[in-house]
Amino acid sequence: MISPKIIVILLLQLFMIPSIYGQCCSAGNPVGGDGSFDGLPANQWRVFAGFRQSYSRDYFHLSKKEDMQHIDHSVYNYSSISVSYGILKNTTLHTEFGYFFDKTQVVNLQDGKEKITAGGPGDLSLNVRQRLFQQKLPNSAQFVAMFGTRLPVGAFNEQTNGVTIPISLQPSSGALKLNAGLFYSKKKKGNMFGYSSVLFFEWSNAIDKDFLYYKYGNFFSVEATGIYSRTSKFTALLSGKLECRDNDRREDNIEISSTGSKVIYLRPQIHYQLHAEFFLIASTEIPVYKYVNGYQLTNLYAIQVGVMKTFGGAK
Amino acid sequence: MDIRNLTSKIILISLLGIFVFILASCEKEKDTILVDNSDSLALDSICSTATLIDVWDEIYITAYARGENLSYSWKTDHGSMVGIDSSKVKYWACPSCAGVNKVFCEVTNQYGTVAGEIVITVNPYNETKTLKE
Repeated sequence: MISPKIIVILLLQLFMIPSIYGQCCSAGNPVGGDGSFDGLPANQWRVFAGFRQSYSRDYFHLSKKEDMQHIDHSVYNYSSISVSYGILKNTTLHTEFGYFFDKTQVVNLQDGKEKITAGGPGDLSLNVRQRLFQQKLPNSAQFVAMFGTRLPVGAFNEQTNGVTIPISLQPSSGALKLNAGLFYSKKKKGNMFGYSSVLFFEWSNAIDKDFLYYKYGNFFSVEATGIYSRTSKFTALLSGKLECRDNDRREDNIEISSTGSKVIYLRPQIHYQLHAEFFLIASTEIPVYKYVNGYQLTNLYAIQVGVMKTFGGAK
Repeated sequence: MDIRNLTSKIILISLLGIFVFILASCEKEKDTILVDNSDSLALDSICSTATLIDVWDEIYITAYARGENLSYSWKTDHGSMVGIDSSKVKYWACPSCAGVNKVFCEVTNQYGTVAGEIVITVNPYNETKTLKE
């Protein structure tokens, strides 16, 4: 029998879907590891393995769809594994590593469609979560601060027929990133409803290679989620999230006009207990409002399925 | 916290630190050592069908090189390319790639590597669109 405390923690884990963002020419990169922010009890492990597909198709200019057919679509298929460990009573270590099966763009050129594709390991995400406040049952609540980094250890020099793939299609973002976040959640024991919220910020170092200078814009997101759980076996969540990204910059610190955006997503999720502490998680992410600077390819949807196992620690 | 538990955590953190250090210090790519043009290997020129283009225009860029067993490697700081054959690529740029862009070509054989570049200027998309309308 799983304790209500563990159930609440597992519910919070449902935030674990990577964010995505529109990029000019691709479906973007997952952001912020597996997206979970909650703290674990001391000595508890949590392992999540997931698959994610993100599909981008329509060009937007500001908040309107633009009739631009040059890029047919852009898609990535990404798998990841994340491990969290409660190293101290209020401190959790978290890491995630992923692999792009493919990151593809289909372009409509004058003499037909052209498919550009790359695949390989993505970035490595590491973070520390410090629980600043925890309210015990029956009013289980927690407030967590997170600090982390994403290391560009993945593939960033993928080529096809001697031609280097554009950076937006490389599996790795190519840049060291630092991030920080705040997470708060509350769900009363016996109450079917709960809620949580997340603030997240990410800063990117510049890519400064022999042939390329590129700096991703700052990224900020705020998210609010309602949790509905009638039984411990099945939970439904609905999140609303605002993502803001500043303009990227190129050499001489020139601002790139067709980068940066503000997007509001809706994210329904379900969480089903398969066996004991073994959970199936499925979610989808749909942009309901998009505002982009200049002209940009935007995301149409993202879906994710995964399984999660929690073990060890206080029961 | 007992000694055994503390030790296991120290080991875990140490392993994590070593793992991160190894990953971060991995040499991603070796710097290419370039040689001067010679009779055995030379890159005479890189030519493009246009050097001032609009967003989504498609142009062809060709490297003219001499030598035996040549292999070509192409890259650009902004824009997209596909290979037509090893010495020729098709280049285009999306709206975020407007600006003064560089296309680089390296030609390699057993005598070393020679390199060259060409500058392609891409007009901002809003200007292109306004003119076409």
